[in-house]
Amino acid sequence: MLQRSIRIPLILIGVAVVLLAAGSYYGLGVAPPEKYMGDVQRIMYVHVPTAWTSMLVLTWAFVCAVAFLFGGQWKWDSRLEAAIDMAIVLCFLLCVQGSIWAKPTWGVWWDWDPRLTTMAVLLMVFAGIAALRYFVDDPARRATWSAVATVVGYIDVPIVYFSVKWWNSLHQQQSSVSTISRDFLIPLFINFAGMLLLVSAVMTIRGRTAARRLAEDMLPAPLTIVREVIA
Amino acid sequence: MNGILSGGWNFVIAAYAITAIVMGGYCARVISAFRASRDDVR
Repeated sequence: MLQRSIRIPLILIGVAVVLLAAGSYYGLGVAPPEKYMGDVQRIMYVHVPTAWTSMLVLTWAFVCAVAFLFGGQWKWDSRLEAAIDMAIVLCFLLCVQGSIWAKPTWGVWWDWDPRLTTMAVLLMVFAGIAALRYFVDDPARRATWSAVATVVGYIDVPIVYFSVKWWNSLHQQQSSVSTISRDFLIPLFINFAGMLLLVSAVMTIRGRTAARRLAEDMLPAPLTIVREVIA
Repeated sequence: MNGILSGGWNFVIAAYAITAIVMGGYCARVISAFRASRDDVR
């Protein structure tokens, strides 16, 4: 009974883990090493799916924020909270994975390169929005302020994406699928499917928790006290 | 120095391990928070 309302997301998490295991097995053991980067290039099979998923999650956060601001339905605020949390996790992972890849290929763990800098800014912006949500008690103000901040913060997403084209960057430009070998694409897309499924399922559960807490926050004070007395 | 990298498996393993630990940890935290919120409602 406890699991009932998250049964489907839990099943999706199980499927995602299988996909990620299969994609990682293919990427680490079956796909050939890249001509110049050798085995280090295998980081791509986890880094690129994380990057694609993070862009989708950030765009979803933007959609939730706009939907709340124009529609005013509280379900969008709960979904926004889940998306903000997940965006922070994915942006953090992107910075760490990129740093690990940078050391053997660029010779440094970090460089204030346009792509890395704009990505770090994005992480800080969404961490700031999460902090804002944490410190504001009034649900209406919390929802409105964080939705506005998300819309403003989202401006950095296209800047991150196009930074490698607009400025001289150590980071390589986006590759075209048509120029990538099939052996590289298979683990890349399997891991992307797994990551997308995992993130969607976890955000669903996180959103339901946020909705419950929101419902608790919006209970009239006397009723809350009555419930505590009954408990 | 020929411009071709050799080795580097330790970096690959580190990237995969950190991703698995962070995603796994966050996933577990989200599920346990959902259970705790359900218990609160009860």
